[in-house]
Amino acid sequence: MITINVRTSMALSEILGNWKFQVSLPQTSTFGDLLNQLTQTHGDELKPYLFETDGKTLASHIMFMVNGRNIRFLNKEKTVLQDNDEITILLPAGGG
Amino acid sequence: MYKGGYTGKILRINLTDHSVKEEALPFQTAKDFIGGAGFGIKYLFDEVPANSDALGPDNKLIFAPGPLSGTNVPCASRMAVTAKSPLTGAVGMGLSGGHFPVELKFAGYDALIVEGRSKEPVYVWIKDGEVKFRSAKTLWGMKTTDTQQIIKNELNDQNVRIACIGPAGENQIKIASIINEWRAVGRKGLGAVMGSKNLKAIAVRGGEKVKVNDKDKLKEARKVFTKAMKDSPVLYPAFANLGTPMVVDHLCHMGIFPTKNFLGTGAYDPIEQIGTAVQATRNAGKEHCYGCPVGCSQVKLAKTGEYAGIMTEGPEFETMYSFGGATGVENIDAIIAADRLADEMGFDTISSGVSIAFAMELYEKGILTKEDTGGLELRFGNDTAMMAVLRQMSYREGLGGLLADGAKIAAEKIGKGSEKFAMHVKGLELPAYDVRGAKSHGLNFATSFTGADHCRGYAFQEIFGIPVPKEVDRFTAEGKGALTKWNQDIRTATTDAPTMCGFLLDMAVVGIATRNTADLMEAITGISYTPDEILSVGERINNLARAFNVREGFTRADDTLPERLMTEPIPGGVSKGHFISREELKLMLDEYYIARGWDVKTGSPTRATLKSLNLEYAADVLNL
Repeated sequence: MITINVRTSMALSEILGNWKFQVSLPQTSTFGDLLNQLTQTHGDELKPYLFETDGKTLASHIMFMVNGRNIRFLNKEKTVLQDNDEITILLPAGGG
Repeated sequence: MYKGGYTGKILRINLTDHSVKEEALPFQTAKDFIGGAGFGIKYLFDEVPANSDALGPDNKLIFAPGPLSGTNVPCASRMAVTAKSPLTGAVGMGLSGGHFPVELKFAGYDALIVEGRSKEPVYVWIKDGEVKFRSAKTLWGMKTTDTQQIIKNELNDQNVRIACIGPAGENQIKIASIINEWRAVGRKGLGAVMGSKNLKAIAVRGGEKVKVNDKDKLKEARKVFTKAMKDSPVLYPAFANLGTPMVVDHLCHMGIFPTKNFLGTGAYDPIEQIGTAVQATRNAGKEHCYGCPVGCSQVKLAKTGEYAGIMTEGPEFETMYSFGGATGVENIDAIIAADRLADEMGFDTISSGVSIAFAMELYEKGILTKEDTGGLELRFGNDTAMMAVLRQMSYREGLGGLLADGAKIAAEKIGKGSEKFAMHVKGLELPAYDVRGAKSHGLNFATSFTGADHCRGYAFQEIFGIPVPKEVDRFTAEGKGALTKWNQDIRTATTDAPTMCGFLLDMAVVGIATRNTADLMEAITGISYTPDEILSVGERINNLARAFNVREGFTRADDTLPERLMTEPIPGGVSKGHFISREELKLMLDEYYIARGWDVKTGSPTRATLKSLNLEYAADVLNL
């Protein structure tokens, strides 16, 4: 098993119970596997935030990052996670 | 002559001889520059002589709302204030909202140009085309809230809108701001320019409606705009309820919230000390600019210790960084108090906080000692010391006097190798983004015509993941030159010139911005633009601003970043290890100049580029 560190923001942290937490996953798990595990636990509430209305495509306005890099510049949902990876899932923010 | 949007009049006030002149707004100026930032840059370049003393009578202060201001287009009560900056020596321009910008339109003017220098302190009272100079002797020395209230009482009109300076502007500290209500034209020392002219305040009242060329077309264009606002995934309810300080959490999560003068980014992460959860415990209401349905401005009330009972409109995100992250101060009530103090004394929260953070690092390193600080233990996190220095700044007292003109000038006075710890570009202190982990944002800081300015070419693709015009990897340098140019031009063209709140661009309308701006302009003014022509207005303004800076002696060598960002990787968090190497900066700058059609060696606009933008006269001025 590997341990993944997850950070998230605003409504997502309320649904997930904390803004930072750890998840255990089997070796060679992907980013998609992580999302599956999260949605299995928090499905109905969580899904509309993470996916487009088809329930499959990652929501375009959410930032999904592995070690700070947007997964769209890695292998998207197929990005293989490593032990101690830092996952960041951020709802849209603005201002500054 | 103008079918709508424009009043067609420029008001010119000369403080030297207390004369007033109304001029017609030339049509070509309106067409080529739209308004706001465009008018500011145009009049600055054309009228302020080369190498003028920014604090002398030759410098001019240009207040310019845009053609959308005062119409029923939401979030358009904005103005650009432009002058040569005493802080940087480059273009000094800041934008502000509130109610003052539309009031200037209602009083009958597309722009107000302030010239000369009054012998005695005055304030100017503009009411429906009538201008009076009134003594400000009794106001001199007053804080900004008192100044505004006393002028309202004196004029027997509580709805007068006022832009004024506090003691900081009077004392010409180079990080002084201009305050209207509780909004600020915060950066680049424009308050010092106002102080140098002995101008305490400008009070405005007007009853003229802004004409609209085609109400049906406006209704359609407005519908598209408001639909984009409603469809925004962030504007409602998040941004309306949390305002800009929500970005503290966001940037901490991304590992680019700068802490401890950029020494601690990612490694020291104050989300639990000053993030949104703590911010919510200090909520005391919210404010709206004229015609804004969002109301992002959060009013906060300090609740503990010596700061209890202090209320402020803010602190905005940038101030949470400058008085919080940058200084390592974790007491949110101290940050609230510092924000209020800065607004009352009239100085920039970013530059003042970052300058103190710089001094804190020097103290930690032993370059400054207790002898220099007047006995203050000026360590990161010491809010009492921070407040003490802030109080000194406005009056140039003690260590505050050393820091009152910003970190760059302070470093030049201190020496001892302190220059490399001063976080600025062209003398303007860095805003709240550790651009080692957002490289287009960094290139914008290096190339913006006002110095390290997040309000010029904000890279929302990197900071918020918005995929317009394309998705980008924030850690890479390649391709960032053209992107930065696009970001600078679209912001200038669709928000800073027309004028429109910049937050709406990244949060709601960026996908339709040039088309919608063209539609709004045609509906309101009757002047037709294609979307590409709208973008070209932004390019034109950025080129003329650059031409101003070239005339003042700026070159490619000034388009750089603080040494720390180019040599020291981010120490912790998810952006750990990233930095902008000198090679990457060179690559991005080369790309940027090529995208702009500028001379890659000098960074100057070329004659061909200026000519293509109807700016050949600027090439003549620069002897290109």
